[in-house]
Amino acid sequence: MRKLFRLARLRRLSQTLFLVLFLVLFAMTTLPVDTADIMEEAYTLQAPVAWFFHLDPLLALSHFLATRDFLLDFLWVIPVVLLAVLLNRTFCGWVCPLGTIHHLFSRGRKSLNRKLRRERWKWRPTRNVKYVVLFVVLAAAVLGANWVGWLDPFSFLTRSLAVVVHPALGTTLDGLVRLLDGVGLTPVSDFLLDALRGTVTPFQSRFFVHAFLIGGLLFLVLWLNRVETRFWCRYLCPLGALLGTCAVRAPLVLEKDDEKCTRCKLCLKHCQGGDQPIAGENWIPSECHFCYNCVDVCPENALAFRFRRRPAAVGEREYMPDVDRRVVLGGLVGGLFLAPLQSIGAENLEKGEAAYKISNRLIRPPGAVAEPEFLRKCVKCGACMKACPTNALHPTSWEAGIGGMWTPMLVPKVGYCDDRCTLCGQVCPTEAIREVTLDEKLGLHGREPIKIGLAYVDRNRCLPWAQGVPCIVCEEVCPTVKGEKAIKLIPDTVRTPDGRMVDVRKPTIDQEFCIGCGICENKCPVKDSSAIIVTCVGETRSRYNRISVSSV
Amino acid sequence: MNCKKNGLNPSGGGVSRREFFRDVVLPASAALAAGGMLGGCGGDPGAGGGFVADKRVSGTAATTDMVVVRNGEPAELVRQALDKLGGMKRFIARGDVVVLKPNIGFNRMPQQAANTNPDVVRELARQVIEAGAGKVIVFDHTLYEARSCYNRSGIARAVQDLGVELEYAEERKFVDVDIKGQYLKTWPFYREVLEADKVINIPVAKQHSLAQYSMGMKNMMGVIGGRRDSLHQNMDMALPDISLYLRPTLTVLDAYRILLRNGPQGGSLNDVATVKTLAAGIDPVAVDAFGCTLFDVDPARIGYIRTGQEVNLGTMDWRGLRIEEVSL
Repeated sequence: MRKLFRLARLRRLSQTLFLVLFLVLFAMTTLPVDTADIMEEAYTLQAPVAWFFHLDPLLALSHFLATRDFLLDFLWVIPVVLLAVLLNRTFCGWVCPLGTIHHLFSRGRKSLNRKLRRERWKWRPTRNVKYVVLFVVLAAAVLGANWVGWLDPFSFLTRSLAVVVHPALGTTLDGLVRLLDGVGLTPVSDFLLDALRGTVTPFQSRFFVHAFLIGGLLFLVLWLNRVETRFWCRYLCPLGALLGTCAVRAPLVLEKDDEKCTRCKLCLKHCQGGDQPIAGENWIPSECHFCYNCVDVCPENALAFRFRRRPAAVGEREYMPDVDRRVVLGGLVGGLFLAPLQSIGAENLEKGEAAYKISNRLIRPPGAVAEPEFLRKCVKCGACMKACPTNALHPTSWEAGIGGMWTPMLVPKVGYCDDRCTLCGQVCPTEAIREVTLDEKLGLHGREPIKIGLAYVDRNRCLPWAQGVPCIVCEEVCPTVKGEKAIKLIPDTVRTPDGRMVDVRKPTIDQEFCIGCGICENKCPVKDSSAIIVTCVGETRSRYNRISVSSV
Repeated sequence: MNCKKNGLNPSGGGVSRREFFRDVVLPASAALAAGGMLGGCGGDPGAGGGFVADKRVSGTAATTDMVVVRNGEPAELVRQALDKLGGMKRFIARGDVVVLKPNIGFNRMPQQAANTNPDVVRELARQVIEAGAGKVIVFDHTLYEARSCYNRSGIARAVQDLGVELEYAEERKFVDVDIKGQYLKTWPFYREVLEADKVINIPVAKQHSLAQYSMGMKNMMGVIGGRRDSLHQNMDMALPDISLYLRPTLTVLDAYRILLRNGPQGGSLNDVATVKTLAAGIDPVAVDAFGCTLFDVDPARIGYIRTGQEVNLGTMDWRGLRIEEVSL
């Protein structure tokens, strides 16, 4: 008894450690600020921030199915799969940081009592929804539609933190600082900023377009824990479903002593997985997270986990989850039918000369692979959005088609691509954005630089062109790549609206040098609708999205 | 159902809701409201805002107002220049809060000459500390992402062991000031700079598209916030407006490396010339006028320098000042 008592505590310790590790790695997914690195012009992240993703067998499997490519990083899933085969969903109970967060949000005496009263501990066929999700995702992946990122727990958590929680923490801190300053407690606000800015909160306030939906989904999913403990894990999580399917022959079983049981239901109240640990009900091994709460809390010591070959002790029926052929087939067929849906209206799958895009504003990060492959690899985790120091990368809504929802795109109005930064490729867990060197990005040593788009000047809005007012901020900020700026100035004399003739310099784009970084659009003084705009044509990663045959 | 448990019963032992409200919430709210009103009044810009924006020193026994040093390494150039000016003690009093304002606007490396040379900044910081300053702040409101600028420029690293404060611009510290300029009327300035005792402007000499050459007066744009891009629409008036309001104690023009083309950003080493020169002076217009000679340009052709002289910010005739030229 005392040994198992320790197991529940060990489990809590394990959950805490992995959650803290996840959050620390998340916080480190950002610009490294070690001043000792200044001699290196390229920033290199030292921390393996993508490690959690490489533990995920669901990501590994869907990546393989979608790309027929095996990423060596995914070798880390082997111990996880072994763990699942031997101890089935222990991963859910002991490791998964999203699971831990759901666990925390499920707590509360009143909530647990209410859920017990409403019999939320019972298994329902609706639990199979997660298997349907799993098979739909896998089937779609076979057809090249990688939808795993929406409900994969690590992608979900990283994306929600990056796009919703982290910026919100920054806003909260800003509000707190303003309040403290207002009451004259500036040393306190200074201290808070020093401690938290750049790690817990963003260095500079940031926001993400289309974050509303991501935030809404996060709040919904967290709130559902009040309806049923670990709702996500029980009903939605495709990774949980995958690990559950490995449970069919797991040797660790829950043994129940029917005579000792007084039906106090304490085990049901604290059960995380919803696997019906009480005597008299069927135990469902594929739902159990092995949290050991039931054993821990039972006052009669009526429960115990043992290593045993099936079947279990006398009086207990062997129970298999109701994942019968109908569910599996339904999921697979559904996936195969749904996958092509993402192509309806999504003409950004390149088909020779007919390739054209839904949105010319779909500017992908530098180092992104060609679009069809990108959509197969990107798991919409948002790590690149978090890492980007200039708040340039944002989740798409429809720009990449429905199947590409929440993949990253550059929004120059909010942030530009720092020409000397390569962080997005360093943090991408699936190489949807390749890890490029700075030399590659800038096109040194005889290469062509990586272009993500091309700017154009709206002459009707540009101040020198349209009003005879001097400006040229765009030309000033344009980075020098391969020795020349992409914006060249044409001196001219123009007539102003009030009839004077003035000398101005008019910006024009030199296609050969423009890399589409977006800093011109970002800094243009015409704030509502910039007079110089970047679109994705000319991107190096695409053979077809070009203007001319040669470089652009 | 749970009313009694929730403590509406005052004799219940715990704190009742009414008591809590009366004894804690009301006083706290009153304090916050009072503080909020006070906080709102503090540092209110209004007319000038109560800041002493003129950071010049006067009434010294010095005989030289400007020095040009050539042909040395950065730290040595700085030492010689200050030596000839009468030493840093001429400008810094014991306990002063000093803001060093280098150009850290871009995330370029020292050899690309888009920012001030880190060794120049370091030597000046060292001298300021030696002269007895109470607090030394290194600050620039950068154009590019702040951390990458401070690091790549080498400046963060150069000053990290000297005990200076590296200040990253924070939105909340910009205060609107009524500067009553020709072009700029009310504009946000950085509070730490406004409140400092001395401000040392440390520009780098570089070519600039609109301003033609970016030196001291242009570098002062790093102490303001707001919509700086709109200054481009009348740079000739905007720059003197800034320096007429916030008059630096000293301008030290770093010309160890200068950027000849594709400024202010630069990037290509082909655009850099190593000139190994430094000029320091109390007249910002004169220092900038000297800087023009490095690019073979007549200062009278530069709009903001002409305007600077017209509004009596200084004089273009740097040779006519009490000047010393040194070659190492």
